[in-house]
Amino acid sequence: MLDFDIWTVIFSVINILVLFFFLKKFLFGRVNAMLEKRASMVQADLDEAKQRIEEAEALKKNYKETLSNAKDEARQIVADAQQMVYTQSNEITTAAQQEAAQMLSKAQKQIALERQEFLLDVQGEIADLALAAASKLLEEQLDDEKNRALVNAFLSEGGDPS
Amino acid sequence: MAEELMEELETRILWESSFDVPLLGPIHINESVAVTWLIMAIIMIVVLVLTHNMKVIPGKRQALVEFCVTWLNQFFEGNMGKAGKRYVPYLSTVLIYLGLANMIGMFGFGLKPPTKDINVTASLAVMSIVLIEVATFSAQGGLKGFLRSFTKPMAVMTPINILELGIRPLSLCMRLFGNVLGAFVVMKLIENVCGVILPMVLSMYFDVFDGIIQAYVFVFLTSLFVAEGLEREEPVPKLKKA
Repeated sequence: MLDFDIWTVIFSVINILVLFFFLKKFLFGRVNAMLEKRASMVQADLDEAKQRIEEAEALKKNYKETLSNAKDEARQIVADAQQMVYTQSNEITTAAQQEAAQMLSKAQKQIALERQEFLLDVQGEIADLALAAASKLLEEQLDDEKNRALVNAFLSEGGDPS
Repeated sequence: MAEELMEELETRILWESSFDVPLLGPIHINESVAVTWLIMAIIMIVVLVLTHNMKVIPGKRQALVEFCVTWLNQFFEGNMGKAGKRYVPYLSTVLIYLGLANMIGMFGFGLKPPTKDINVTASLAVMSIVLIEVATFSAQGGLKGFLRSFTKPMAVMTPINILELGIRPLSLCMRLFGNVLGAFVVMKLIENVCGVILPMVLSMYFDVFDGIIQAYVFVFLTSLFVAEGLEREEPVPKLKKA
């Protein structure tokens, strides 16, 4: 063990080199590659998670905005509808009132007209009757036109039927 | 009686098996080389079993090997810094080999640690000094920087720095060889005196503790010397000092 032996030296160097290349390939190569792979995977996962959270935040904000917009819109719609209903009911009431008033005045006019016509008829009848009675009384031939005018004047003097 | 004991001890300690490779003439295989082959086979098989079929999500087996590799990486990077990362696999190889080689004696079967052969430790020490100088050469940027590194920290140190070229491997070689041989001889003596229990207890110290310490010291010193060689003054002043 103390003697110098060149073959032992040569073999020792070769042995260590062989062991070194073996371990470099199969131990350190494999394990370090795996450690690096895992580290990069974890990093990628973390990055992705961060990105997802950012996206989720953006979406949340978006939803909130949309929701508040929708609420405002709904309120606006309800207010509009109320306003419209109010206006419409007002319009309808006014129109109905107007129509009713119109109809009333029309009916009144009609009634007045009819009454007027009726009175004129009655007047005519009365005049004829009076004329017949007068001619009977006087028993004289009078100018028909003249007498009629006379009677009419008399009647209008005597009393207004209305 | 005493003479007989001495004779028996002598044969136990000094006896070495070796054989010649018949076909290749002068090639001579020493016992330490054969034991080294055995150690290499054990390491290779264990490594192949531990690292085959690695997954991103590790099982217990893979967690163990990952823990060991991470520890080795951190230990050597702690000594040498990021710049010494490329030398980690070699130093780890030496650490694993020496750790097992120093302890192989306690497994019985008549196995003796190959590191009690000075040829083996000398080879390792020579490889260490080559590694140290190559690392210094490449880190200092060529021959000029390499030669200038001998004048550091000051010009007066130059002779000592040159002497260190020989002193460092010699001390590495002799420390390892002496410790392992000493532990081996002491263990053989104890086994001769008392065959039960006592050798087991003492082998915890002489084989396991001393073996691991010597393996550790060998690679630790090598990595320190490499770290020293990696130090550069001009671009980035490194705080790393061993």
